[in-house]
Amino acid sequence: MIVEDKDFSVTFEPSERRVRFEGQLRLRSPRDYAPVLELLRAAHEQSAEALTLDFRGLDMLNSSGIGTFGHFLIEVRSARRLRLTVLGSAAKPWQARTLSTLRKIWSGIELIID
Amino acid sequence: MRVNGGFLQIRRGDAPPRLLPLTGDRLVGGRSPDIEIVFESDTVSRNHMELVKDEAGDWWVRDLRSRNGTLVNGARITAHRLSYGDKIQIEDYVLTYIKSPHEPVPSRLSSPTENIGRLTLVEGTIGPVRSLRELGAPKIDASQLSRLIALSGQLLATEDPGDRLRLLCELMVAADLHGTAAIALRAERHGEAEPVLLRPPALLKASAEAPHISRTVLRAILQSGAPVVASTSDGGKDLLKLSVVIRAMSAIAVPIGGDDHHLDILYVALPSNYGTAEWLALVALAGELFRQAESTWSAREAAEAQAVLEEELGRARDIQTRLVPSDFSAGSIEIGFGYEACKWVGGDYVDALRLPSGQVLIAVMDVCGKGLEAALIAAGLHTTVHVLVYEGLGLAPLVRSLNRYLCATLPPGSFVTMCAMVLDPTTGAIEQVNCGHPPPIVIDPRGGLREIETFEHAPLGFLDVEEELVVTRDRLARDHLLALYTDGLSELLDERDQMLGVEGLGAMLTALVRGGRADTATRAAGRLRELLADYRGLAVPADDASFVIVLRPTPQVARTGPYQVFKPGAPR
Repeated sequence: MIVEDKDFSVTFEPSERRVRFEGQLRLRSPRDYAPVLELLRAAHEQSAEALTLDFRGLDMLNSSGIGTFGHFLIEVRSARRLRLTVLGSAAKPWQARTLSTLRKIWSGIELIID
Repeated sequence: MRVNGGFLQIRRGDAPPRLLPLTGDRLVGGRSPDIEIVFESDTVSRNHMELVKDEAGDWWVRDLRSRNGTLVNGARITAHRLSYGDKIQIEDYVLTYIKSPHEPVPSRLSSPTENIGRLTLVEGTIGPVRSLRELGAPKIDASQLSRLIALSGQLLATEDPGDRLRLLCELMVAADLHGTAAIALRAERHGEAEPVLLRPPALLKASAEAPHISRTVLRAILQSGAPVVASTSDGGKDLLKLSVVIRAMSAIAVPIGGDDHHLDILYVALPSNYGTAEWLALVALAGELFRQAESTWSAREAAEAQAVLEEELGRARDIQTRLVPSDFSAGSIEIGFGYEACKWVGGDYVDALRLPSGQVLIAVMDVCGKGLEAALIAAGLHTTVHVLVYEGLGLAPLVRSLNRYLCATLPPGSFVTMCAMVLDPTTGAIEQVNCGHPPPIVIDPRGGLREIETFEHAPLGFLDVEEELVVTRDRLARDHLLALYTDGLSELLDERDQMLGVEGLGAMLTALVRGGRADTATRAAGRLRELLADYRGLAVPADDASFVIVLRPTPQVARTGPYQVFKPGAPR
């Protein structure tokens, strides 16, 4: 399953139980992130026990995107169904800050910045 | 605009369209026989596309990695939010998203009414139906062209759409155009409903009866969408003998407007010897001038509506700009502000309020998203903060109250990042609460840079829980510059799409201090605005950008100039 545009792609690989983000996510509003949120929800439904959100290939995420992921985290946290791992890249300084913000929303996520 | 429900009008070639109500949350389309929308074509993938309703009630179309792709309004898409009138193309199927099966797309022309007369339609043509391409080159008289040019001027000067239609029809029966009757009617492009009159017929003689309308001529123009002519003088005389209702005549039909569902037609009856290329060209030209005039009126009305909207947005921008405090000094600190919305209005909120204790509350907030929605939330924040400060709430209770307010009012997925601090002008002591916001930056007199120590809480509006708020403490030393900012600064893009970054912003602030451009907060803020504008160049701003600059200069002589000197307890 994939949601993509000229600037980004969001891909869910069911066999890896991993959602991979690449490019620059800077859609205009939370509403424009609806297809991404739907993909995340589908990934949540189709993944048993664990799901990984891999942001290492993502060069930019704007505030509407952070809001979308925050919203998704709250849903996952409420469902209490699986373990969530978030992967970030230390080579992209914004990721450490932004992804740690996600951890404030749900401290139960495993955050790996390497 | 939020849209809910709606219908898909599914059309393939000349087959009658079918209508699919959009119900549920998801519909899959493709070749597979067991899905909701079945396309009977080998070139369509089994699961080709899907329609999904989002939380806001909007429908999205998404391509399911189909072999030959999904097009919306001619462009290949992976995902697209639908608006009424959008056309989804799946191979030779065209799916039009419409609001209601009974509600056509609005047309420029007035809607037909019941009481302006009835049409008499007859089967059989009055001669071969021809188009301009099938006839020879027309020889048009200069005087006739002059009449048409004058018509164009009249149409552009006539505001009422009904009057414009009357002018067009009346010209057709004027002396040198020789029409005996002219009728404007609206016909369905694909349906079987009878055409209807758009306005009463214009007749050469007041006593004359409205002409019979040839269904064949109507079918010809509906099929081609182009002007057509038919005449009894072109071989229709045999038909004429068979019919008591068709008199010797010519008929010209030209399109004058319409939409996906309807065609508006000017139908002109003429004496039989006027069924020529010349008269077809003249009437077609009149129809085209009419269409152009309608487009001009449409553009004019849209421009007027846009002007009204922009005027209101301009007022909103003025109000929002007035919510940003003027630069001021309080005790031994000076505060300067920068605020720029990337659209008419923005979702940043910057403020500084003097507290009864003599301290100053400084707040910088960034509402997720941009534009009007974010601006309304920002305006609500301004009011709420001022009320809470007036009520005497301390920093932590204020932040908790704000979070509760935002959790109750923000739409899902929206949030506010915030850095709020209380600064003591006398000692420089800082208490800060940070909720997902970039940490403030301090520049020392030699240009050294550090970020204020921050405990980062979740952004406001996400979690309605009473978590313990960590207030961090710091101190603004003499002659140091403190900058609070929104990520519109650090994420500012230049003309090559290169981001400024926190490092770039830090370098600008350092340059300000080292270059002696930060002797006052107003000067520092002004220079920072210039540097940011230089960096952006001609790039279109992508985000709101706001900041607060605080200076705590070493006391020297009594300052004069633009600052209002604040004494604790004195009215502002």
